[in-house]
Amino acid sequence: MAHDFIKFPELTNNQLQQHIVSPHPQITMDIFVKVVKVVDGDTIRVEWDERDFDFPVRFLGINAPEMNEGGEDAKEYLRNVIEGEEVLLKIDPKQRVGKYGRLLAKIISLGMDMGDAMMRIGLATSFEGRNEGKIPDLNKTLRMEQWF
Amino acid sequence: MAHAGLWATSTECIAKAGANYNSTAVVDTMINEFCLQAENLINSLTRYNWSDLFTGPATTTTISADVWHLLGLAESALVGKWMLAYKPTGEDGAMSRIEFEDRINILRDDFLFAISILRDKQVQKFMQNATI
Repeated sequence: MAHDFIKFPELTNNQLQQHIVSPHPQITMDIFVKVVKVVDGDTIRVEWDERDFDFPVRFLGINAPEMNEGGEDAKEYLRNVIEGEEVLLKIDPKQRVGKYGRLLAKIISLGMDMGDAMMRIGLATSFEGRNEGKIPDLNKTLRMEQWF
Repeated sequence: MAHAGLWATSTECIAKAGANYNSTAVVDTMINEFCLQAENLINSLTRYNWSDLFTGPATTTTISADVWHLLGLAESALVGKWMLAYKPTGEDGAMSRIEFEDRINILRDDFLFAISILRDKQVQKFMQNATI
């Protein structure tokens, strides 16, 4: 089945190894981009000179609350600090593409890791710690349905 | 010599550097130079000329004392870090690497925390508009 490049502009590492031909350059190393929109507390849309469309980038290694869970502050902070600015996307070659096909990157603005900055002021948590403090879903954890 | 830094006093910077920094070598002239460099760095990092807004506790008329200490916090943390780093083994030459790194990390974290806040344009507006 052909890859839907409009919905998922990034190819995963596996797909790159399969030599799927991409209509636009794939991102495998650090690049400078312009932030055109902040989508939420951990996703932005950016423009890159080598592509004629803007695309989403998910912050690597952090997790901000969803918009219906108090993520407005994180989004507002990012809008105030990096919207319209040029930032460096630092790509981890082993974790280039995440869930939902978004590019993953550390976002560096004026030498500062914006993910770290957001964690430092309490607007985001580390990705590993995203479920800390949440009440576990016992139905899911114990798979209770299997007993009935 | 008059203190050249606008936002943090030498006393504040010395307090941030903490005990056992090399006070023989790191004299007031040097602290002043560090302060000016720190202020330039903070202005550039936040892309806002705080030095125009805040000309020092004695002279300022444009920014409230309720908010300008944040600038002093950022500046003194950075200057304190540089003062400590001048001689990582401390004045007595016996500061351990672990203690030195711990202290540097605390100051670095303080500085980055303050900068993360100062970069927010809403905070910049808030500080400009805080009642004097």
